[in-house]
Amino acid sequence: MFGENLFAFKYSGQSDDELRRLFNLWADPEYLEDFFENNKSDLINGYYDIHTVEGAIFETYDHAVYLENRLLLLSEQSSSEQLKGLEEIFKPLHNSQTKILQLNKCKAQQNWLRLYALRVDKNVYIITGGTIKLTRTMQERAHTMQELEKISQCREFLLSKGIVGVESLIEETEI
Amino acid sequence: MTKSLDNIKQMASQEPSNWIDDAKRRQTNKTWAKRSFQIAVRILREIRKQKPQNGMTQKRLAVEMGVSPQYINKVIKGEENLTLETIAKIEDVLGVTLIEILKGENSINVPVENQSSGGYINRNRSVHIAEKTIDIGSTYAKPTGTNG
Repeated sequence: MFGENLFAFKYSGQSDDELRRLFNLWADPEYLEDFFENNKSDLINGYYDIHTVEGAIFETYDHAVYLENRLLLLSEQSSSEQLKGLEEIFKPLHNSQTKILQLNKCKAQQNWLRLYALRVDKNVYIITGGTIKLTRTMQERAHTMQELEKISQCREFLLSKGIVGVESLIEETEI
Repeated sequence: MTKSLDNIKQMASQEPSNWIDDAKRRQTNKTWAKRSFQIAVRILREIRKQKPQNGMTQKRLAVEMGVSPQYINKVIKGEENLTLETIAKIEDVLGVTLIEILKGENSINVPVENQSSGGYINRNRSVHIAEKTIDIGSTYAKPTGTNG
């Protein structure tokens, strides 16, 4: 993607890598309208404070712009600053329970956009995918479960091809 | 550099991602792109609402506007820097308001002795509010050295 620290998987059958694909989706009114219409019950049942489809779409647009600009800014910095910036942005996935409690305390964040990455040996992030997560846990919906499967498959791919060694530290992270 | 990073770099495509180009384009166009996005969302919601009532679709919108379906597709993707004419046409066909212009008139009630203005001042037009002749008396002498 940029520098030596950020990469993204591109799956067979897809024309774009995951980062490009996701930011294009999150800027696509037709995709977002369809997504939130189909997941309206998750808005109404209110893990977040936004309860209308239109409100959710506009909120998503704003968050995507913010996130993308943050990554764009990072792409213009030095390699060491990029790594530091990525460490601040990506948090370990398995601490998500703690993050969820924090989100409950500060629902003003309203940020349901997720990017998932494998962090290899502390200094390389490879984006495996992303989604709009409206529920408390990823296991509650098919589209978020799919991201867990992608993370797992990507990890297996890296190990099976000897791209990373079994001694390598691979962490699952998310924005 | 670790062996893993070495391997990853070897495996990675030589072709760079176009994400950065897309991101920079979105940033460059941000002033109109957000409006275009908002309008696209309104159109999509309106079509969804009207479809069961009158069969409205993107294709029908194109026909009634006299444009191609491909153009409507660009509009609903938020990719068009829309002209006022196009926005007005969409509003006519769908029967909605996409952009509202505030009329910009401020009404202030000002009590005046002479009620000929009806006690109303409109900042956007001159109104004969009130006049009162002041008798300054015959001792007034215009100052010299002025131009007024």
